[in-house]
Amino acid sequence: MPNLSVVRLISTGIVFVVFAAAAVISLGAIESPTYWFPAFIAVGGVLVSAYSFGHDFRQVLAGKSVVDGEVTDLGASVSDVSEDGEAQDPSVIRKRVFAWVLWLIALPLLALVIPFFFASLIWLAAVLRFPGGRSWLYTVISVVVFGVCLNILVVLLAIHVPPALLTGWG
Amino acid sequence: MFESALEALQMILNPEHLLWLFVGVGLGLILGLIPGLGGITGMAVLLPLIVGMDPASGIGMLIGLNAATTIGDTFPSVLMGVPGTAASQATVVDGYPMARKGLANVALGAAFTSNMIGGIIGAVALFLLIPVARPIIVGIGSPQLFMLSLLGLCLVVVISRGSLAPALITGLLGMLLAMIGGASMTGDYRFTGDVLYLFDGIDLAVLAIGLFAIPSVLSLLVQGEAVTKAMPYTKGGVLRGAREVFRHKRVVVGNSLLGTALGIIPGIGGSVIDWIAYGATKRVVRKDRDNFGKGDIRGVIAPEAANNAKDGGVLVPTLMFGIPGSATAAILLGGLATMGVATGPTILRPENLYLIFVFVWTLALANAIGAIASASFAGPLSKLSLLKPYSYAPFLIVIMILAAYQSGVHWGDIVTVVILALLSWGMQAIKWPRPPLIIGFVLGQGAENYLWISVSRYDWSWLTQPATIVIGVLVIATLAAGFANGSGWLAGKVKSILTRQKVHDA
Repeated sequence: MPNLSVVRLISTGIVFVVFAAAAVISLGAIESPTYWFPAFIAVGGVLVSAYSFGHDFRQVLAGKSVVDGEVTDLGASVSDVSEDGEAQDPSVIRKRVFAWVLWLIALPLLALVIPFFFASLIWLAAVLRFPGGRSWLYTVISVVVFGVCLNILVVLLAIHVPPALLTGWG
Repeated sequence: MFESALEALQMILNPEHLLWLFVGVGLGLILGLIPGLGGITGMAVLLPLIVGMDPASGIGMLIGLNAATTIGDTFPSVLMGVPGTAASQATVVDGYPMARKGLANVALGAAFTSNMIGGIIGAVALFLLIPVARPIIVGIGSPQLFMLSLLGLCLVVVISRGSLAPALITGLLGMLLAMIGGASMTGDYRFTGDVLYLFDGIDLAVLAIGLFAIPSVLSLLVQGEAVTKAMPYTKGGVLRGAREVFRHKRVVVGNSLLGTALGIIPGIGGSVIDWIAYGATKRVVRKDRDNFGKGDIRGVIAPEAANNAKDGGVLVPTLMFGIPGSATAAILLGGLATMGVATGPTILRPENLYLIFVFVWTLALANAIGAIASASFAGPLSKLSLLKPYSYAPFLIVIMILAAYQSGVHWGDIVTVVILALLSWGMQAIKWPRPPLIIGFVLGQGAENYLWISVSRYDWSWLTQPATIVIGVLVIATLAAGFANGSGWLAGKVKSILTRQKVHDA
């Protein structure tokens, strides 16, 4: 399992590089007002990310975790503990996270070749049937009902539906 | 004036006007319910419909839709932890933990009551502020707006727990993301590489959906469990929530006034106002402050009251100066022009005064109708939190990706939203707070424009203006207090300096 403290350290390092690059670009063109504010942000970002990197690095070297503290965040999280206080097996959670990353990427990939409206229906059917474990009957009925409702919304609200980029369909 | 108020009331109680108001409210509630589709979508759809319509009816429909969207968006925020619109993000922080405790209906009851009270206070404030708002708006110049933007970013200090550095990093990262694309003041492009999609910059809706909505739904799917297993108050939960609002009168009234005041300042918008209200409440309350973020009902009341109250404030510059205070206000302004309603100082003429009252009455009525309608659905809809996520979450992902596509009608929106969702999921895992990123993004665009105007207009002498100095001191004090409350070496140093100073003063 990747150590999340190390992952955070690496992420801070990457963000430092991003801010540093933005600072170099902005300060290099500081005579133009276009880069005044970006320079201000980028320099601030370099300072804060350097401080954060140093702080986290010392913690990691001391064998302390930097991801155990509480932060103000919102919405559901994979680390949410159920009401009975039982956390799920981390290895199972990891596998599911990986699977859902692939499922999420699969939708736009499918929509590259099939118009999004139909791609989304196929994707939904696959998700409900396989990871969801729903019956074929439930899957077909819910996908058809969703398709009809979506179509009504698309027409009534003049919603744009992405065409298939590779085939040009839709 | 009294006659104008009565005339306006008579107009809006006309059955035809009421019908259009109900249409607007109904559509607004539906749009609020669907994550990602906000009031802008609805306004844009309704715009062609109001051509040739009687102004009172058109105003009713547009204002009704706008008010109801900020009410309906509470449902997904509380029940699924997915912000219904960018303006309901702060509600999720305490609303969703309440749902996880089985108190979804209580949270919804509190939210809708706060929406109604906030909306009505906003409407009354609109009426009271119109004649006196001029000096306030004229008195706040670009230098002050720039400093206020920085102060807004410093609120990350207030709303974040633990170490301050990650919060500041994400806040600055948000500001940097806002810099991608064309600089509005010079027209130059920056940080775009050769990627055509980036020339228009990243859209707020895409960022909000990618940052909060999709990761939350993915987390629900990974967990595979219902948000809660049981609801202790299956009956009377909504009323219980409403009673809680009256128990926290100061929170609801204070945040309604705050929301109205912030709404007057053009460009701040609901996506920041809800966080400011949340942060200010957390800072001001003395009792059980640590409960915030763990399902404290005050964390639901504060942003919801401010959010609906801001609509009254936004209308002040929109009607008085023809300056739209938000994106939806800009569309509203276009709609008013379509119906032949003149905005600007002429609206204060005696013969036009009834129009202001039409806005005031409509705003109050729309909030009341929207809140009552939502409260009546809150009981059954709150049972959604008992459902396994496979029943609704995959459908939400499709809708959210489609909603993201609406912002720029570009395939890049889909790619961006998926990349942002995955990065945001990673941020959640390494405990990088995400709210500062969106606050930084929203404030970054405005802050840059205000800085540019300030320097063009006053050179650097604006830094010595008394109001600028006062806000600057507030910015520094907020940051220092944040470091003192946080952890880490620098925080310890700041803390010890502050403590030494206190001892010295004593």
